[in-house]
Amino acid sequence: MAYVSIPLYKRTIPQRYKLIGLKCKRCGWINFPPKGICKGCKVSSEFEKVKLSGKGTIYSYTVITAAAAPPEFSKQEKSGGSYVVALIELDEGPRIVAQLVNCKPENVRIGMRVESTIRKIYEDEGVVRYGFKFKPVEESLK
Amino acid sequence: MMTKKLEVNILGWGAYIPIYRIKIDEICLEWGEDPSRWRKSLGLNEISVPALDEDSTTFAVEAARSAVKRAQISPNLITAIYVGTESKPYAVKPTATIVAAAINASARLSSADLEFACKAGTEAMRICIDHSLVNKTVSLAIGADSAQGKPRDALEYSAGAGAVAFIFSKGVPKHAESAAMVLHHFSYVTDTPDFWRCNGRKYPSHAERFTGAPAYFKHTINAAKGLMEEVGTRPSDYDHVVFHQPNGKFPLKAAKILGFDIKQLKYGFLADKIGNTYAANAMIGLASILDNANPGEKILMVSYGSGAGSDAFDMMTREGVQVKRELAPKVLDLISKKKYLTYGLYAKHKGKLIM
Repeated sequence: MAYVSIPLYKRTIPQRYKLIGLKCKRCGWINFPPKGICKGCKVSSEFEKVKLSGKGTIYSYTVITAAAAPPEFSKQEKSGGSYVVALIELDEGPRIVAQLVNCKPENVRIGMRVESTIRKIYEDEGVVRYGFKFKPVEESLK
Repeated sequence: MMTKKLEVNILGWGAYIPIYRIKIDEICLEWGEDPSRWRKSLGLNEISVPALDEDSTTFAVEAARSAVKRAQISPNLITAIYVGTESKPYAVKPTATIVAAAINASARLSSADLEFACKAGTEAMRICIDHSLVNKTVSLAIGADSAQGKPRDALEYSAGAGAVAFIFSKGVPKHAESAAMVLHHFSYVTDTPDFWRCNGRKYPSHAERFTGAPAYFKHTINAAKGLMEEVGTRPSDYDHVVFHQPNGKFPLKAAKILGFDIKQLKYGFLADKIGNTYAANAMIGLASILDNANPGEKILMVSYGSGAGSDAFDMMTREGVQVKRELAPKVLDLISKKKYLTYGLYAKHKGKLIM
């Protein structure tokens, strides 16, 4: 992950805390994270803001283990051990990458229902970067 | 003398308790202590522990989101957010503004973080109740803490983690419903150095036995008595009572001294399961009472914060309480979801062992 300056972090708080996406006024495609040009029609730059539900399904996932974590997550990996990064298909359509919490790597499966939760993602320049991670919906663990 | 009723509504409430726990026995094993002695002396079995990527701010946001769900209002209606905590991640930078951004509240907002040891959450309630009363608007009060105890100190055996949020309103906004009504509040404070944390210090200190009679009991009992005298009630008038629970023994003793029956503590007494959640402590007990009470039942809540002081609240549940409780996770459900940690993992989660 690239360095995120404090001004850039500030500008992206709505998407990080609240999953605010952009709905294309031309084709209806939901863009998340927000884009300059619609990912659906690849033409329009006119959007309306939409708050996504934070619910979705695991489309695919991987487990980050020792020495594989990017620098901002190396402290997390050293302290907590391996962690799951999932490709999540949100109910509104977009597929996003996020960490999975409250679930051991061996219990993760494709198709598992998940919901968003707010966590500390990492800390940089003394500023805690809060954002979304996902956790299994109770029924998925049964 | 009976004071005028405040009649400020509780529109919504929400709690958050992290899934991790450590058993008192596991802490005793680490320090070569006798588990049965510690369990008996504190009246606790296990305490809640944050995940590596959680802090009092993430707790506060989760609790606030549940409160908004139960309140069934647009967060835009909220005009004040106050957060009580003694474990905020920043020395200077408010938690309240992060909560506001995360729940989509308006920027036209009165907000701040408050510190008064374990009483900061109920002080946030008092400010929000009075704010709603005066301005006829909606307000959000939060108590949130990820409490610290020095390794092997008595506090290490009781310091828990969690948050709770309440949304208040004078009058009921369109399409919303009242879950309960705050009728009176009463505060009692004195300068009492029973527990403190100096600037720059990681762990708090305490004055051992001095934390009992001159601190916890003096303030909780005077606040409870003061409120009941003002309101004209007796212990038997209340269906539910909840005291601050720094351990599993003090609240039971306070209840006994005041003349309450153990049955009145049934839903609000949670310390044995999650430990002392500091600024969230008595308020999580209140949330649990709202999860279980019937409409028309009377509640007394008495907090305690070292330093020292107590806030007492006289409340009554209303019709909306039953429907609203199904709209977000209940306290006992949050308590039942748990994963146990070894002492080593616990030390990492609490930042005691820094990698």
